[in-house]
Amino acid sequence: MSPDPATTESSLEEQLVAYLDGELDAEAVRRIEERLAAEPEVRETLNRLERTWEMLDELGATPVGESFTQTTLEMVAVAAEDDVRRAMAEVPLRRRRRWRLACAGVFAAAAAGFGAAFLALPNSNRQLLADLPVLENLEEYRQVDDIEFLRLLRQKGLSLHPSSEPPVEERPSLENVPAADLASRVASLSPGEKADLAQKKASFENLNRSEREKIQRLHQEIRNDADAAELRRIMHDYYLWWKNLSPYDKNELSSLSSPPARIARIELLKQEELKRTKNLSEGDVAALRDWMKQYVAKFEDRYREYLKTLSPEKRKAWEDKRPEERRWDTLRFFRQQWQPWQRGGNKSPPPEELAALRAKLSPEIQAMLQDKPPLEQWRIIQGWLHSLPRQKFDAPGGRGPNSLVDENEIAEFFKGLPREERERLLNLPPEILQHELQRRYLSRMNQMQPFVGRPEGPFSGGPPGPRGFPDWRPPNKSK
Amino acid sequence: MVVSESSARRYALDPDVRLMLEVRDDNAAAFEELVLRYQDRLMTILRHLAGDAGQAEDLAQEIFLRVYRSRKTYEPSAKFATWFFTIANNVVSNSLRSRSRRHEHTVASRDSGPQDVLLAASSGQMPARLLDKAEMREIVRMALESIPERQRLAVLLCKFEGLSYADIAAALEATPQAVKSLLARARINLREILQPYYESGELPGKNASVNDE
Repeated sequence: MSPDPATTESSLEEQLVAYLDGELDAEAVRRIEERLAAEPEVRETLNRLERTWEMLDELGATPVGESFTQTTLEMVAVAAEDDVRRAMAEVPLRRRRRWRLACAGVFAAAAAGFGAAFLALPNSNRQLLADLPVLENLEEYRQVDDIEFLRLLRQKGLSLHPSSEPPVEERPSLENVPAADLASRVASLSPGEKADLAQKKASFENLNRSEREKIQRLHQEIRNDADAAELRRIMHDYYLWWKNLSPYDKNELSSLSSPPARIARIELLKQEELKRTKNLSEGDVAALRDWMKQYVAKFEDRYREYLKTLSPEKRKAWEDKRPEERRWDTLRFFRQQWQPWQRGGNKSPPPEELAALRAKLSPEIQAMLQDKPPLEQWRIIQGWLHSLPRQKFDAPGGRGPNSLVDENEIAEFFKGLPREERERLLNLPPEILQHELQRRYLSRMNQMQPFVGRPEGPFSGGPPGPRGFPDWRPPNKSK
Repeated sequence: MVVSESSARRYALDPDVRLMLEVRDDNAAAFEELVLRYQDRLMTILRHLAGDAGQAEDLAQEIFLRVYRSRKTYEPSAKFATWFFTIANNVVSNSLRSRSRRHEHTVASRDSGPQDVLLAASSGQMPARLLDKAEMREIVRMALESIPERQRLAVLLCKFEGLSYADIAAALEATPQAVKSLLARARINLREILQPYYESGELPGKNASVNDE
């Protein structure tokens, strides 16, 4: 029986389209080409299909509107806030449930010991406690492929601890803590810490099985190592350093799977980092800070223009802020714009502004910049802005008039703290008190309105803090 | 970064996969970069699926929000664009379904058609040199927007994103064979609408009949 002519025709056109799209196998290509060579009407069909396809080129690309990126990122930031709020709401609920169960289990505990009562807790909570030792370092583990990498880092003696961070205090491992103590420890966490833990747990559960096993294996290997504490410190320092890299450097580093290749890349990145900052004296750092402060004040209008693109509620929230809070928002906006990898963010400031900055720098730095074209000068300055430890940049107190934060603002902030907090702080040694107050103040400023001025970049160094917005961390947060 | 060996290979090959893994790790700068990389590409496609630029932007934002919300479950098991356009397809399909329930038009709400372009030309508003281009663009747009949405999306992914049949199949949750048929029907439909125009300059009717199957 001969095939239905319509089916044959439709099948031929289907084959011709697939031929044009390069989706046929070699045998099918050969058959089509034979027919094309022999049958003019098949050639004509092909030509018509091809011509139609080419006409679609007329449509061209449709770029998004000017404010699209900004409004999209803001919308996502709001969604992120909602997610965290939900996570926070979930934690007390679990706690309530645990308390109810714990109370109900008192009699059982009397008979069979707390262990038996604990087994009556919801499975998810038991799992949480079992995973706790892994979860507390989850972010760190995820950036380290295997223990060899840490051993090599140690062998190389590379110092990765960011100078802007206080030294890491060694935390006792949770490994041998009894489950009952772990449970009460979790129950006593602050809401922020609980949200952080809930997020880590979700993050860990979302990994596929082999990734989870890999992390657990790494955790065990480190635990069994004679130098466990040292390896943990190295891992933590590496993580702090890694967090401050640009997305490009992070990607590049993550794509290198062999430990020696990654270490070589780290050494290179460290050298570049050193080159960017080694010539800067304290005076130059102060000059950069001073310039930044003046620049932000002078071009505040640009931020006001940006504010006009926000929703009326966000604008109102901004207008209701105190002057120092507004100033901080503005500063954050400019910093974000100055990040070298932001598209459209690496525009050079006007030549007269660059000249004003140059004039403030030391003669050696001026001489170094002098012969370079303005864009190259700006690239170097961006590197400084990007890589200088933020403590040097932002820290109030003891830094004189160049500080970005007034001492008065800190004093006001202190006055606004709850009484017991103030008393606790006043009991600290003076230098720790100062550090702690700065940290809290900067943290508060940076957390006020996530995403207005868009996410923080390298200046937001430090380990993950409360997760208001992903990667939205207070600066200088110590563990 | 903990990824399996095969994932790691893909990860190294596709920079967008790497970027999305950064997003999965809650890196806000990486998410911004992803939006910047994909927003115009997405708009180019949505502009021909939604009724107007405003609706297309709303859909694009919804898609980026879904991408963000799905970040924790992202696994680098496919080319990133495929994963991204699978989400886009789901958002667009839901939106079109709910709009059709409300009996709203999808793409028929444009302000002008080819007749309007010709009118502008005859009134002397448009130089002749630009007329050919503008008229052609309008006619091609109208032809594309007159074919069924699923065919249109397959055409857009093939033409503007250069996705393979296998990738389009993954995005549309269909088989590669079904995509092959879909694209063939789409191109036959387009040819039916556009052929009279490029052969004799005849303007296609606003409701040119197309094969939905």
